[in-house]
Amino acid sequence: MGAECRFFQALANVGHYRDPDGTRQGIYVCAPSGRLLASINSLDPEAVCRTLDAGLAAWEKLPAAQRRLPADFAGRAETRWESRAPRDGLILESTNRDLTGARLPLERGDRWNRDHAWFSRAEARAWLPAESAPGAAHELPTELTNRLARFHLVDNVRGQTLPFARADVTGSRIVVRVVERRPERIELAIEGQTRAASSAAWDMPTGIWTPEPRHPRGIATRLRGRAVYDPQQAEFTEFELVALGQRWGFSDTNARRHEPEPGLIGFVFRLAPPGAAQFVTPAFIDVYDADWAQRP
Amino acid sequence: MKRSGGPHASRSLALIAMLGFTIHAAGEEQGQQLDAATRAAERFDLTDATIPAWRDHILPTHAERAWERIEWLPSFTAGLRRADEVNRPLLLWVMNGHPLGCT
Repeated sequence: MGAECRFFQALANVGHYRDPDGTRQGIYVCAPSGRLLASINSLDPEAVCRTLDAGLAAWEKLPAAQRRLPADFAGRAETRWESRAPRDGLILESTNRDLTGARLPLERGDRWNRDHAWFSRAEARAWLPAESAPGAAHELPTELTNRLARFHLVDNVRGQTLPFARADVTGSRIVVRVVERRPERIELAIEGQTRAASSAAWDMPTGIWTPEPRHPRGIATRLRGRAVYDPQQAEFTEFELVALGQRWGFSDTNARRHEPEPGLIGFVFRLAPPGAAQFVTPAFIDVYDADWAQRP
Repeated sequence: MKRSGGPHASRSLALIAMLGFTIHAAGEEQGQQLDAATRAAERFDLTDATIPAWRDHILPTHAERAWERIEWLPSFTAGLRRADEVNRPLLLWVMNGHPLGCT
């Protein structure tokens, strides 16, 4: 365990949850010294605001000598998944939301969620057909289509869910076609469909996400979008892919347990904005089917 | 040594047969759900012309992204160092599981 973890553990041990084997989730206010000033885990915004006020008040009373970060603080030393981010590849931000119908305009649901989809430099290039003349088309390599179907086109609108096993994905196909070719840009059209239904064929025994117990669930989507690739810089400069479909069932923690009946769902994949947030790892990076995604 | 055959073996075979039937039935129901979902996906009004409207409908609104206006730092260590530099307390938001797929 790294110094950062021990530092957090010390303050969490005097916070709102003190069971060493239990959750430590919540909101903490602390001094750089590691002294806990206030903490809470609540969905009530008023209660959270009161906690923040209490933390600030405690800070004001805290002597200067008890505020500073220890001079010998070692900080983070261990390598984390963020270090595996394909900085020269393709990093997509995905957003999903429940839908109330198949045709706009629609009332907007208030539940949505985010994740990132990572592709190495070589995988980013694999989105393009080998021929770049307008009209040239190819099918996205199966492993990349399956990455989307298994790990990203999943129902985590309301909470974390599980990926799909390899055998759960059938009849999924994404076709990429060149629309326009210029020296500095290749415009692509993307179309396809994905289909995944959970089965007993769980094949990720080492993953941190294990179904216990298993519940039937699945999703089918139709995808359409466009992207622009800069061959001179070897990078995508635009990427927008919409996936619309229907999901059913539930997993242990995705908050569909009481509403497992089929419902409509939508996804948007686009280039992740610059900044540190794009290096927040994909939820299922530990079971990504890619050689470069090795556990740090 | 256990004997093979006998009533226990018959019961085991019956249980295996039942389990096999249950798995087959569950698989069949999953297949039907998947086909229904595929048909539902095909009914969406998704064309080049409607992509921008679907995008705008699915992406979070300005209000839903209000929390992003805070300059969050990506690690506890980075937060401690910044708080120490500016002599301010640190707000630490901790979730179980994945921070972008939280419950």
